[in-house]
Amino acid sequence: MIALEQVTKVYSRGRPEEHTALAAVDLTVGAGERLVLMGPSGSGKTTLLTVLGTLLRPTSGRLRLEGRDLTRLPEKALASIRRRTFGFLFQEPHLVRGLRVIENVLLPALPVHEPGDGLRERALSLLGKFGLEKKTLARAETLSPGEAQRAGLARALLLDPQVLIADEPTAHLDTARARELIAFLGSLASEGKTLVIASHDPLVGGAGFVNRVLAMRDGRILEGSSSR
Amino acid sequence: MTFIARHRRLLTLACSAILRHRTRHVSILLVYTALVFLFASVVFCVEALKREARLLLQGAPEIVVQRLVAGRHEPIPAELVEPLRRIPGVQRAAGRLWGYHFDEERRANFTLIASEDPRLAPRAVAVGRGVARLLGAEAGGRISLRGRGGEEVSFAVAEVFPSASELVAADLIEMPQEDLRAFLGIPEGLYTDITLRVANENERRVVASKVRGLVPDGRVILREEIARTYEELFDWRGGVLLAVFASLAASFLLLAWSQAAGLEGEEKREIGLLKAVGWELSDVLALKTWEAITVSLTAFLLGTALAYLHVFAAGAFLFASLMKGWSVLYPRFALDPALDLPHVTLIVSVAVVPFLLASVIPSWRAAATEPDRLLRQA
Repeated sequence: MIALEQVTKVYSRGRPEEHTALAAVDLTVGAGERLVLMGPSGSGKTTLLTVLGTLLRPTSGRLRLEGRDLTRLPEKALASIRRRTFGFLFQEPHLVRGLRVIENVLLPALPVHEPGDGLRERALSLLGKFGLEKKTLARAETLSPGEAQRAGLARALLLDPQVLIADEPTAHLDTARARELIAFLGSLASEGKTLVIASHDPLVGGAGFVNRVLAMRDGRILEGSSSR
Repeated sequence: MTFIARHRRLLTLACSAILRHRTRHVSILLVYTALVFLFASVVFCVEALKREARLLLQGAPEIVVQRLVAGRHEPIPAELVEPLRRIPGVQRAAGRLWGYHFDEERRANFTLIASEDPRLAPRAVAVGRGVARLLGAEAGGRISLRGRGGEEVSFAVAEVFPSASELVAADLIEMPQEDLRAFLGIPEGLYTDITLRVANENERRVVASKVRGLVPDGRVILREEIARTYEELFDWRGGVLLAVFASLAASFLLLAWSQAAGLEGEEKREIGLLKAVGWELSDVLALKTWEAITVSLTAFLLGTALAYLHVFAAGAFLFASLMKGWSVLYPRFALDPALDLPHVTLIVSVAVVPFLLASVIPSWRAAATEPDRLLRQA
């Protein structure tokens, strides 16, 4: 479904602080696959996720989605692909302060939302599913970290993306909340969603729904990574 | 989604963004409103003065002939009236008697003019409101002026001109021609100048050149030249003020630009987030444009309304003395209210458009950045 071919990403190219975050990475993610990238901080996990999710263009190499080369597509086309294909769950939930929870969840649909298209109902249903039904009208800044992360997940799933990309989703959660979130991710896996998750939390790597774990270090995927 | 529904949602989100970043927006709004107020005040003031001048000149003669001796204005012989009247195209020629009177006690300069109103009785005057205020006169009362020999000359006040004409008539004293000749010491057979009525606009310059042939030591003044002089004078005065305000406006735009260019971390994060969740560049730009439009229209409406009140209700007290000129009588500065579309358009184009550009271009630059960079920078 998604393929990275010899993808390299260099930050601050040509400057003293030049840093290679990804070094000629090859990776294929199949439809319905539940992949976890593990590795220490600075190993390139987040960069790989953002390149894969079209939030960042690679310095070289190619990104393909169902065979279509996305590497040189104009920004307008990429925005449409992001909206239709990917949902992002960031390490920080990145909720917009001052907006209500329901408004934050509906944010991806704001420019395209049609009256009567059921998106508001879907947003409410997702918030209910993640235990936030009583927080729909609360301001984003009043949520606890765990609630904010679940609201972020609801926003990522609003437009029913094919692929959910999650970057350190349990980083700010205690163990109980982390298990809860992993259970939510598991329920998505059972619905057939493709999941690509970066984490160094063993709870995530060891979750039952995960069917491939790849280890990363120094911008490369290490050989001998496991498949289940 | 319909165009209107989409933009209504973006506008709602823009208003919410303004409230979220209220500290920055309120400070910009205050400075911006003050600048629009100053600029709009000058525009309203200049245009109202020009309109007053045009109205005043509507009743003025098309051509005025004066006599110059050694470069100074001297009385003109009455015998020139008839030859001037016979110039083809001239409907009427008449001698006009007027002069100035300096009231040393009150340090005020009055303009004296011979009345054409036959109802004005001998030793009676009609005065402007400035004169009436200064001399404590009212209709039915009396005023005294010091004559050439130092003697007090008393006049009955028959009328005080209405306030609508105050701007041009504040220092005016009208009296019968015989009284004025006696008071100024201008003998029979001389006038201050001669006025000509030339209805056909196309003939005025030809008539003027013929007058120059008949009165070689004369100065010929066309009404349109006076009108142009007024316009240039008020434009110049307005220009002086605008030049002063221009530096303030430039500073403000630089401030707006630097504020927008150095978008706060949270704003950059919001733009990055919107792009990450699938917003197109055009969606982000529309949102930021609505933000800028909301701020600039609020400032425009507030500033323009305050300027309107300042100029037409409060007599443009901030800079009336500069705009109205030299008169020592300082007429009450009451301009007729007016709001012309071209002037509102001018204020919008000068005040709103640059702010929109100064706000939207930096946002566009930010929105053209990859979402991940914006999220990381924040």
